[in-house]
Amino acid sequence: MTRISTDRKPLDDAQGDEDGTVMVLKGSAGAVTGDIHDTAEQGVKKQTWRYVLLVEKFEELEKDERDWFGADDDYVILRGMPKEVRVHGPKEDLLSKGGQPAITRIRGKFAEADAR
Amino acid sequence: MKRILAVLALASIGSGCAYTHRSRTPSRELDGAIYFKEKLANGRERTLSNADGGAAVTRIPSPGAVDINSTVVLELRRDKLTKPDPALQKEVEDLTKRSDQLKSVISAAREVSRIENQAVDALKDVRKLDSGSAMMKEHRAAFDDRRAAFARADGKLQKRLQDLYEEDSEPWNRLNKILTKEGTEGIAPLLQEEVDEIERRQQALTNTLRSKSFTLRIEAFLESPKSETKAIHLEGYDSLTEGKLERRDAWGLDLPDSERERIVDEFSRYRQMADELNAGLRERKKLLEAIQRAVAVASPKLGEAIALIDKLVGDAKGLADRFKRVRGDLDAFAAALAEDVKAEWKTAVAELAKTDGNVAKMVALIESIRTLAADWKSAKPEQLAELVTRAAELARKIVRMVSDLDSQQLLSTLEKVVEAVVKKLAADVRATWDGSPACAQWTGFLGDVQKVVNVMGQLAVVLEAAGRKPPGLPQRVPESFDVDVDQAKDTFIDLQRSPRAAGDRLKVRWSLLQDGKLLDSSSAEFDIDQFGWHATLAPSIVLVRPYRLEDDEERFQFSATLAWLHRYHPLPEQEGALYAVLRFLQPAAGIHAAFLNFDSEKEIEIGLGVSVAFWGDRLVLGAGYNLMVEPDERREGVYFFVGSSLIPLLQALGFETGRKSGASP
Repeated sequence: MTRISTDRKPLDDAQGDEDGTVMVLKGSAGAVTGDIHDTAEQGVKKQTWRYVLLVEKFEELEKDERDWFGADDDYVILRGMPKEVRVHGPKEDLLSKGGQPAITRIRGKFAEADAR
Repeated sequence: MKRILAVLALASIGSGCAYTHRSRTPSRELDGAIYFKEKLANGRERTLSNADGGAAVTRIPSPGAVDINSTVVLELRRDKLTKPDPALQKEVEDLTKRSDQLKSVISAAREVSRIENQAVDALKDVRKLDSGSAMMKEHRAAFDDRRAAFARADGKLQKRLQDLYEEDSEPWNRLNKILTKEGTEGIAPLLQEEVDEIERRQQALTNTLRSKSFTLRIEAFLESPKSETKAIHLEGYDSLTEGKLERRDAWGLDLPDSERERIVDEFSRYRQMADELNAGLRERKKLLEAIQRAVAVASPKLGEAIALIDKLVGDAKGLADRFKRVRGDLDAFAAALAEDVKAEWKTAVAELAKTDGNVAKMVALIESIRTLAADWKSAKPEQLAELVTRAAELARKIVRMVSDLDSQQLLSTLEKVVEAVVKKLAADVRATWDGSPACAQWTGFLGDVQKVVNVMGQLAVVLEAAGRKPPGLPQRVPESFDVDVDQAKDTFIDLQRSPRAAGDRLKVRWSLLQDGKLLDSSSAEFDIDQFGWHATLAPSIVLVRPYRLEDDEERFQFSATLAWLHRYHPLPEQEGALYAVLRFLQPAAGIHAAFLNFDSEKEIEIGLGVSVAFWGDRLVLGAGYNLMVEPDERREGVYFFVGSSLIPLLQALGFETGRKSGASP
């Protein structure tokens, strides 16, 4: 499980991977975004260039990192070097109508980011 | 006489219409299940179910036309012979669609998995290299390509996976769980499980559909104006006995026994008719009776009908007189009675008027009496019981009313009157109707009316465009088989082995059954006729006139002739002006022998000559020479005539022309 609370090393590592595609979720372990994180992390593990990070303490991010997120965004997907936001949106993009994390939707968003 | 002429005129119009091929358009699957064609005696084939000769059924003969010596071939169109349960069929179709959809997604998932592995491998290659490696750029580009290809394919796949199930449903949750846990590679096995389940279900449904066995029943009937409809043999579809081979001779001379008997019978009846009519000609006053007798020879039924109508006219006159007399008796009796009690009635009315409400009751009562009286005036036998009942009720009502008035004198008077009227009425009714000859006469009259209605029904047949309205076919030929559709074969009807005659109608009915239950049924009809060149022996009754007689007396006489007439009957598809004329006039020409009776001293006089005929021998014209004329006599033997084949004409009207049993020829 890759959560960014006090240690921001995973985030830095992901940002440092030139080939990496990084999904950064804003939230906490007990919240919906935490569930999304868990599902996504497990669901994309075969795609080794993909990272899924959960930022539990938003304030730990740098200013330019915080700027990745718009007002309504709960997640962003970054790609390139330096990392740029390719896809972003509210957590509902990644949930089923019933509110469960949907791997099909998560992979769909990753696919959008990787295809660009 | 007018009646007879009217009937003959109608028959000429009705039967003179040229034959045309008729058909209907297939409107149901089963209509197209049998393709009819005809194999003519000369080996030629005619397609009956498709005007252009194509293989599809585009018309159902109803009736078409087939030659008397041909074989009618029935080819099955199996694709029109299955009618599975629509609900089951839909389920099978839906399952097939679902299975195809899943298989397509499985195939896509396998492809995505393959590209995914390539991308992962390409990334491994990148990561193996040092950051400064010269190969890095190339490998990274390869990885970028693979990753982009994977992204494009996976994006589409995820959308398709999303559409496979309703979100949050049990299978959707299961798919997401497997996809999360096992990744792309987990999709194909999961979906394959569902495909396997669908195929098991499809197999079960197919077995169910197969177990509902479809069977085909084909029945053929021969409908003849001369006899009852009979079932005929269809190879492979019934156990009826195949008839003896009986080819109709194109020269019309090699006749089957039944046909020979028919011609002999017709000819002898024409001779008898000629004798009757000639007797009538000798005594001109009795000509009408003679014609009636002659008609009765040709058609006992028509003779009966004419006699019946005459009888009815007589009966009706007698009955009307009788009825008038009875009613007159009653009227007179009532008038006398009223005179007797007039004084008492005056008192009664005065009494009634004293009390309020009685006047209104009286007015209503008088109205009832008037209505009853009017009904009596137009009374019919079947209304008598009701009228008597009403009269009795009315009488009781009057008595009740008067008794309310408490006038003993009036009551006794009225009781007397009512009793007398009812008694007289009942006596008259009994004397007139109940068991009396008049009652029997009325009953007989009603029966006769019913018979006339039946006769009129027969005459109405002529006015129907297609001639006779066929009676319904039997529900099922007991000898027919239900053949499994998979095992059903083409079949045929060999008309040469069927007891058919020109003018008969062949009917074929085919039915589709499921588990023995009738699903649908269709039918086709064919008029049987002799097409092309052929000859027939045609008896006729003719009015003959000698060219010149010894004593300058020009006499017409009735004679019977037997002609051997040749004709060409075009097939329906033969088009052109000549064929149109042939169809319209139906001409025939040939030679004849006539039985003449110009010389009363000679017992037999035979003439030979030539004849022409039109409209199926309805009109026959001819001229010939009387062979019995002595050569030294001054008179000539030449004669000419006009006549008709009356019996076929009457048959066209729907009249039975067979002899009554026991009648002498």
